Amino acid sequence: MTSSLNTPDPSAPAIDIRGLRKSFGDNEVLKGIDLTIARGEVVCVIGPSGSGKSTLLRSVNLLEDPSGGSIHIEGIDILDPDVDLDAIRTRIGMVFQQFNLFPHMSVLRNLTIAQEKVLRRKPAEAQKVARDMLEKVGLSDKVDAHPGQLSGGQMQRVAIARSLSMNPDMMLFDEPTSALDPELVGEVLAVMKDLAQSGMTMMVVTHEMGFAREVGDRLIFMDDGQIVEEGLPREVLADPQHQRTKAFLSKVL
Amino acid sequence: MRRTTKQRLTRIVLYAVFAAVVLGVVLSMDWQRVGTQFFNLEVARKQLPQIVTIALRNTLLFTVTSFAGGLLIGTLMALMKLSSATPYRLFATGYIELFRGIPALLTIFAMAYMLPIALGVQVPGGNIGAGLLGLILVASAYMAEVIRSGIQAVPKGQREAARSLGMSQSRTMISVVLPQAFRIVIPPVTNEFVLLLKDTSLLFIAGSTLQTKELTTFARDGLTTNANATPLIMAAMLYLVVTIPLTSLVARMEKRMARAR
Repeated sequence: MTSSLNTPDPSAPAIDIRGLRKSFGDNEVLKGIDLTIARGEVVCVIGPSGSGKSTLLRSVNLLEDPSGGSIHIEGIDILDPDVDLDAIRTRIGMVFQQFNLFPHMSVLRNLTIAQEKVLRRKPAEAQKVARDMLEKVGLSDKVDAHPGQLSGGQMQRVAIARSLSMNPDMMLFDEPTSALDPELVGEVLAVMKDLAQSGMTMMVVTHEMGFAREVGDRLIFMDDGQIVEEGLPREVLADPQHQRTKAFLSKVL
Repeated sequence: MRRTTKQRLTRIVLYAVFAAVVLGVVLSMDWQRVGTQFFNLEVARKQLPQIVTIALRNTLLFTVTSFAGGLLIGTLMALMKLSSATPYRLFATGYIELFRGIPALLTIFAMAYMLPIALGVQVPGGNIGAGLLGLILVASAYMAEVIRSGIQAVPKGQREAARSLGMSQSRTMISVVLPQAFRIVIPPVTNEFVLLLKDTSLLFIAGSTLQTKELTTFARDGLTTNANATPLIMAAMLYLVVTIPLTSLVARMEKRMARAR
């Protein structure tokens, strides 16, 4: 019975969010979000702190449990309690502001553990995938290092490689460069740009307007739990239509 | 008076008082008697080698056994206390409060004498085995709290990263959270080991045969048979041989962890 329930529909959009609401106690953080992200699309989400953009992103793989609305991932209703959430999560890569590498494992083990324990790949195969991904992010020489020996930029690139080694269909980025020293931001953005150009579906919560303009297919401005404005990044950044967007952009640009 | 002169004077008075007290004690003591009563080589020779081959060996054996048991049950209790299922949480809370709240001596006594009578069960290892079970219950209650705090000290992001990679809740606990939690609790758990080493002396209440005597019981019997305190001094030194390296190890580990932070 669960086979159709857990099977992705190839014609469905990557992410389809309808009327999403989320409250923490009396505080409503998401006030009815509608958002569809097509396969291969790169969507950047900007907005002031407390606007709900991180909560929205974290709802996509249910790190936050929505209070209302629906979320479909490749046509699968992930709020259906019969759905195999762990299986769906393997197809959604997630990159955090604080990297969240496993500090008690080597870089290689960080990349292989979920492949072996979740995807049931053989160790040799998992290691091959891990080495390929580390090469992709330019860190082949750090295979045996421990996270504590890496710079912030290197840690974030390892975190991206770790997500990629699960061969996800889409990637979520939660302010991936906000915890980095300014001179390390570039190397992470470069990896993300490569990824976008390879056709990965990406949803990126960020403060990097340059990245949004250059790499994003669509820019979404959120404020007070709602999507205020969306459109082509170049147009939204150059000519915002809403007062709140203008006020925000005048502060950050 | 100048401030420095005053400080120097205070220090001189402090040293003088200390020296006077030490001198008074040394002069008033009967050193001959102290020597024969506490450091009697003849009595000491009679304790060897059994004080090491039986007593110290048993003390270490009982410590390691109760430590291993305590760690195992303590981890289980910590996980139960953090469980989202209320009955498990209540059980673990009750267990921890019970065995931390009553004296270890009472628990050991109860296990050794009450359990066989009340339930008609024989614990393997006889009285000492039952006493050890009591010690495990006490140790696990203390360790459960330490391990629970360690689990909660692992950053939330670690769990989120693991779940995002598709790991199940139990896989996340086994591969990601527990290894880091254990690392965090190594110093307090080693402390627990030292406390447990000393608490094995409480096993005397369970009763012991010649072969199951631990250090304190052995020394106490040596005291009564020889009417001499030398066996107590020997036992004390043997305890210190084990505990001092361990406590200094804990101090070093704590310093290293403070640096790593």
